[in-house]
Amino acid sequence: MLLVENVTKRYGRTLANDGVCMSVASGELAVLIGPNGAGKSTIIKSICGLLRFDGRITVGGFDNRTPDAKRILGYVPEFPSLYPMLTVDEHMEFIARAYRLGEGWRGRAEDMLARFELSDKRTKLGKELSKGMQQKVSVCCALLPEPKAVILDEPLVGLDPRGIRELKNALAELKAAGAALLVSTHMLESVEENWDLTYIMVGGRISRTFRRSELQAGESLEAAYFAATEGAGTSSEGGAAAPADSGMQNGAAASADGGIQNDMQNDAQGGGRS
Amino acid sequence: MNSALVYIVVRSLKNRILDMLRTPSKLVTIIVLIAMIVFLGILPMLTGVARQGGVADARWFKGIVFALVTLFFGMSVQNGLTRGNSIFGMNDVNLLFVSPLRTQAILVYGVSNMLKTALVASLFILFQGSSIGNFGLGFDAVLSLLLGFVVAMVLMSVLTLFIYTLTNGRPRRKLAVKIIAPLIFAPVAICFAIMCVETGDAWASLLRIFEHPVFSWTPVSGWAAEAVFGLAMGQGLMGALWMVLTLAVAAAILVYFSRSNPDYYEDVLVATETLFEKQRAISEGQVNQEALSDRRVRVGRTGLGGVGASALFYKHLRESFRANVLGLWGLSSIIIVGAGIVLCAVSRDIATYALALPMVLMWMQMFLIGTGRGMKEIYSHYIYMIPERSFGKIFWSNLEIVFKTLIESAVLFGVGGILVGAPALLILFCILAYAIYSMLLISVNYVSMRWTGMQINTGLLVFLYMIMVVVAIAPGLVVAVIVGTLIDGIAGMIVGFALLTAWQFIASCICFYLARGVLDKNDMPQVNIMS
Repeated sequence: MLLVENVTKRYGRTLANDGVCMSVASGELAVLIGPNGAGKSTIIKSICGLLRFDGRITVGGFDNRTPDAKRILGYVPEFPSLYPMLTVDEHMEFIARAYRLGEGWRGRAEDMLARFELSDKRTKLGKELSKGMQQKVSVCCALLPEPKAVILDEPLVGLDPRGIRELKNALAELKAAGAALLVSTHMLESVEENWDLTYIMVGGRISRTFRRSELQAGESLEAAYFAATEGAGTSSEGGAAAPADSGMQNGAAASADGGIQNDMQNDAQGGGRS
Repeated sequence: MNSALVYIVVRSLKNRILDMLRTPSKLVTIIVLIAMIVFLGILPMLTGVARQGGVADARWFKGIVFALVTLFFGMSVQNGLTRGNSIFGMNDVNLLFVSPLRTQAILVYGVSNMLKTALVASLFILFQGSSIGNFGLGFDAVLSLLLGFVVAMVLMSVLTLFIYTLTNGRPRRKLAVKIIAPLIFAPVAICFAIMCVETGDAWASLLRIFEHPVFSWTPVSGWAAEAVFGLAMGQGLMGALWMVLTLAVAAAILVYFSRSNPDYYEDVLVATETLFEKQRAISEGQVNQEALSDRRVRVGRTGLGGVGASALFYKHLRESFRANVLGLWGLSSIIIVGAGIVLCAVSRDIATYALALPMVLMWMQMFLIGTGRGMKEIYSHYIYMIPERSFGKIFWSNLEIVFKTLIESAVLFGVGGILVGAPALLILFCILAYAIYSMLLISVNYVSMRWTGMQINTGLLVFLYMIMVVVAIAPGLVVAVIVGTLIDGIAGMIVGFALLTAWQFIASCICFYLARGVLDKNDMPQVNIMS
């Protein structure tokens, strides 16, 4: 569903993403993790069509810049950015109108607002909401068009415990419904239950890719992360994680000769931007 | 100052300079700025070019300085009564306030930072050479105004802090300040009223009051005005004495502050945190001033219209009508249209109406166009994610500002035209020329974004945009002026405006074509103001 092929992004002389290859199939939850400044937010924004890049990104087979791709893509940004002069309800209506959603959207919107405890805030303006509530509205806006692929950049930051629980449940439901999910987060425990595939990004490159089944018995996502980012790889690094429809058969996600060291050098030369 | 604080000041300055030298775009911006100051501000004054039309009474200069400082004073009192002032940054709060450094030393550091900010903010005065030249004053007047501006800004910052400290959590003191502050200007107002009654001429009374001792002794505003005027007129000693008096107030407040309130951290914290939150919100993509304002807004009618890209236009309408009582008309619209109509009413001159007024308005519109909701939309992800074509999204998201300009233009040039007795055709083409000019500005904005990919320094982007506006409008303007001059009288003006209107429309279409796909081929811009 989501396919990122050899994407390179520069900010002036800074290399933020260097030949990134990723893919997420329908019904999969992929986790994108990495240290600060690794380039996670940059690749996410590139996928969402917010940044120019070299390489190719498709969503559901469509180039990510096309309306067809945007129609099936949902995005929850790192920083919720609501319209200060629109009410919560009007945010929902705006998305419904802009995406030309059918009549059923009102019921879905009401359900989502209730789920995230926003029903009593429907007439509140964007500027009147706390940051956590803004994040919840942002999630609702992204999910209202029933996207087939959803990208979430640090979605749990600022949410209260119930918000976190509901978002986790929503992600599980979306996954069960066949959506492709890409979640960038530092809160590894929040995706521990549902993840299928993990991309570890260091210095603008995917330094390691692995599926849940590839973890050693008892090894947690956190342990795998530290093993990868602290230079003591414990699992495959050759892109074996690529799903069948991903186009990653070439194993481009990481170099076979221990890409981590190279990535660290690369980071030192230019660094990334997260 | 403590050595640690000196270290911060020196090291920050050094790093800033190094950063500038290492970043070509910043270096170019600084060079362009210096060149502009030299060629547009300083050289015309030194060569006497700016003085050629020096006919206005120099006393007006004193009056303008008085009005400017009074405006600052009002803002200081308002801020002092509400949220205080921020002479510190959040980094100072987090690192210095918790350190064992003396609070007085930190206060001096804060004031020195304020001085630096005031100096940078006052650079615009160097461009005022030709305006000041109109009063028959020279470059020394520009420098004295610069000095006065810096001193006034520092004094007002300290005053704000002082008022906040005195009144925070004390409603009766707040009430006292609200009463006392306007009373400071009561003597000069009463004096002016008496003069008006005696002479029956408000204009002449205004000039007379500028020379009256009551005016000179009005705290802060009068002192600063006399200081700047004295220095500008070559009365160095007198000017210096008034300047010392003004500075003495700031020094007295600082001494009082440091002795009576060493625990002032709490008093600056609210303003610092508020400012920090605003800066953070902007850097996170929230560029709407409404989001940063504390003003309570009544929701009123709800609901939106439109489908697809047109939903953007209806959303903007809803936002505007919710934000402003007059809908598309904000405060700037009222000021611009009101001032334009007053100018027409006073001058009763068709040349002022059809030449001077559009010239000033078009210059201002170059900068005001960025305040439209369409231009702000590009800082948020929604417009990029909407599954519609880029051109449609740009068209609908900027329709609001074009519509707004059209209404402003219709009222201003309609009423103004009637007041000066302009023919209907001239009124029509003035309205159209000004409204379509906004289209041209929007299209040029997108072309400059498209060509740069939004990956250049904001200052350079603005500079490039200004150059491109000049280039885009020049052919039409030149033809309009030549043809308009060849055809004598009002008919020439009508033909000139018709040609300009037509060219602006054609140029807009060309620019929109050149900017095609801008939302698909550019980086979403970010405002970087966090230091």
